[in-house]
Amino acid sequence: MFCAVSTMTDGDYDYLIKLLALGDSGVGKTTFLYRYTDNKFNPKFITTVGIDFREKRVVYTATNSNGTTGKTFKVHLQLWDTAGQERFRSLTTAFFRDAMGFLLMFDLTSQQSFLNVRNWMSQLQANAYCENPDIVLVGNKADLADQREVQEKQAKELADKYGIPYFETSAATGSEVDKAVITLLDLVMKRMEQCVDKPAQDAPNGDGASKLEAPPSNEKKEMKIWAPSVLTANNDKEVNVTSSQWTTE
Amino acid sequence: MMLGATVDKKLDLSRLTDEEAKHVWDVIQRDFDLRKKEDDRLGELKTKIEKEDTKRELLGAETNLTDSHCIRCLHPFKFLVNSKRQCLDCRLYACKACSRYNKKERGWVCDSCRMARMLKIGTLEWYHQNVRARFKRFGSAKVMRSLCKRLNGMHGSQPDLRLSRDDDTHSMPDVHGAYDGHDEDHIDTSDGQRYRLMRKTKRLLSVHPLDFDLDNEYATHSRRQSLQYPGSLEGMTRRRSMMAEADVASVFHRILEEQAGHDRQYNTDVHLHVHRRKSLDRSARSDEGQFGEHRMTRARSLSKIVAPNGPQRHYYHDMDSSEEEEGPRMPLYQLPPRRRSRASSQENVQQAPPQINDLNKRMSAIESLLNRLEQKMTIPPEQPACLSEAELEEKTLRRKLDELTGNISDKGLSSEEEDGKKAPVPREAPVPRETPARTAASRHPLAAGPPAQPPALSSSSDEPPFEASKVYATAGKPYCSLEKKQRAPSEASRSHYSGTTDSELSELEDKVALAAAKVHNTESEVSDMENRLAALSAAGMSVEKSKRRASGIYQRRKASNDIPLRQADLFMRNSLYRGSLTQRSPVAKDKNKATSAKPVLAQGL
Repeated sequence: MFCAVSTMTDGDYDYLIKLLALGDSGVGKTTFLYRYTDNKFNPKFITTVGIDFREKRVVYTATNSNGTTGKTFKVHLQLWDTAGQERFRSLTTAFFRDAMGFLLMFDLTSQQSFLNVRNWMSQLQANAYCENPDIVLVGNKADLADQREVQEKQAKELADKYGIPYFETSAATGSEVDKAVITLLDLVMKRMEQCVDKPAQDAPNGDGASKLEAPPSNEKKEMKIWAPSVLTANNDKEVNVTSSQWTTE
Repeated sequence: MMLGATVDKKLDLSRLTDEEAKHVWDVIQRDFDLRKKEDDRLGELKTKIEKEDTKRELLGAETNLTDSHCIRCLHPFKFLVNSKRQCLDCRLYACKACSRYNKKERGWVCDSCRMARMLKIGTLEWYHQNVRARFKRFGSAKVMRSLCKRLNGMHGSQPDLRLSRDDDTHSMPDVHGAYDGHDEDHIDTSDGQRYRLMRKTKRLLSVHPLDFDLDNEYATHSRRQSLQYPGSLEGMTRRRSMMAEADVASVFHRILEEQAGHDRQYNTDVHLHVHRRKSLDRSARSDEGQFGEHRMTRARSLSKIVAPNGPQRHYYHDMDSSEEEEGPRMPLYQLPPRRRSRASSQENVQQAPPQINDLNKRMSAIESLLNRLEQKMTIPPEQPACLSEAELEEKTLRRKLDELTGNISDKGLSSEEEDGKKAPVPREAPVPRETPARTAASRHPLAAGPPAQPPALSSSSDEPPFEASKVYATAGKPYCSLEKKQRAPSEASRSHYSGTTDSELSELEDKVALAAAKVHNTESEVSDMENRLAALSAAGMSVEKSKRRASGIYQRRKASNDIPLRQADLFMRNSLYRGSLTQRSPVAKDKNKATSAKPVLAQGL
């Protein structure tokens, strides 16, 4: 369904989509994005100074409602990386509005980072471009199985409550990293389609040509990696968590 | 303790160290670069759509043609071999290669309508609407503003930031040099050079004033604004106040004013960002404006057609070397196919056999010229239709002008200066020469200044179009004589739409180019006259009558070539021109504001 392509110097793309990674300090946002864009892993912990971003060009193939592949787009991804540290918070939250989709990350080896997810959710509601933006919940460091503190079931339940997809990733091994980002991109693209007013559908016109011939098949056939489930509606009322309980650092 | 959803939205960067602030600053710079790139990209797509719209406007009216030929590639439809499909959006017919099947809507959409759809989606208007509804400005802008405040608060650290910015690849050394401290001086000198150059090359003007590249045009505008206010600081402030219409720009404006007193170096840096920021924030509207004006300018299509041909090429080459400087912005027709396929929507075109592609290119080139010629033919009846009359009038006018200029040339100059240097400005506007500074700016994305500054932003910015209109309207007279000649090739080319061969096409092109050359000659003469007229009017002489006539013609012509989609926009612009003719009409200025305050994209597309 997607595949990464090289060249990203020119303006030869169809959409500029901006995603943002957020979550507690040290959950691996930077290494996650580094793995995604460069397919490399840097085990050193270098705290992000406030804000940063990476870019990547991908090919997006829309899926039609009946599951068949549709149009292909070149998408230029701008991936915002935010500092998890408290002291940068007012800075990082200011950038929430600059993104169309969010990778809400926590550390599978840190219960606290998982507990803070709900607080990040409310931060998003307050500071993103709208109250229910597209979010993917990401539990990172899945490779450190022996240190795991957050069970998959727990996280899945939380994600379901918010109506968002959940992935357990490992920036170290690269497992599920692409999938998480691509899923988010798909949500954003789906929302985009919904938001564009389609011209009123006229009755099929008298031109029989379209029936005689099959639709053009010049789109790239790509392996289907992930088919999004129904995830777009996340108007869960329970999301409104009061911020007072959020105590960190 | 972390604050939650009720976190105060005030950005407190005081706790950042200088190094951290610098890092954040750099990241924001990168973000602005990306935003600029995005702006340019969408601009390109818009140009493509404009081009296609022009073609459609011309051909769409001829039902017999559109019924039997693909609206896009002009390939004739043949039963089963090349069957036709009606586009869901425009209802015109396109061939299989030029349209795509939309499964959801169970119908075909032609490539140009698909491009238009893509643009609508591509601008991500839904997202920006949301952001606008919720926030005053986007995140980078907010942080940038905050950083400015912070730096404003502690002067000691400023050199720090500037020093570090010098070795930063994203900064703009040229602009530092150009704007550092005395940017007004710099501007004045470059203006002088430009003006001198212009005087020398005036007669060689082969490109419509509106035809040069956007950045250039807007650079001119902003410079001109600054010229109107003697005293550099005052000029800058006034200029800024003009930009303040944009919500975000106004914020920067305030910051800049706060800073204006103590920190000029930094100030100019930020100033650039204001430009860029503004262009981003209002890309939709400004783009609309730009491309509205750039649509179907005569010279553009001429140069496109002429360029690929041998002898004619030299002719134009001599006249307009600036075309070369714009290397990457060469007309679409000359771009290699890969570049033309910016948007994936062009895929189908590429798939068509190369011959058809080539023919298609030539066809559309001829079409745009035809369109041009048609406009000329529809010049209002009040225009003297016979050659001798026009020539006589021109001669008498010229004689009068010569006398007048001879008498009052000195006086005219001095009063020009008294007018706050307003007068020389329109004269220089029509010449698309790049100043050295401008050239440098174009190579540095960061230094690009106000690339998408909406034309209607300031009262002065509508002068170039106005000036242009005068020139062209007056030039219309001699055109009448040429029309007959041009009609011949144009009609010939039309009759060949169905089965033109390569050689026939190039023959036509040659003819057309010759005619164009003649038109051009007359044009430059008349524009010279017009410049003198402008000088006279600046000197207080009344040339109202001719001006008014010119404006009427221009408006009509403009109206005739505009596509329905843009009617609203066009209306606004026409009223601007009308207003700018007198220059003193307050109504025009109000409309001016109204235009720039309106999100044009939403309205136009």
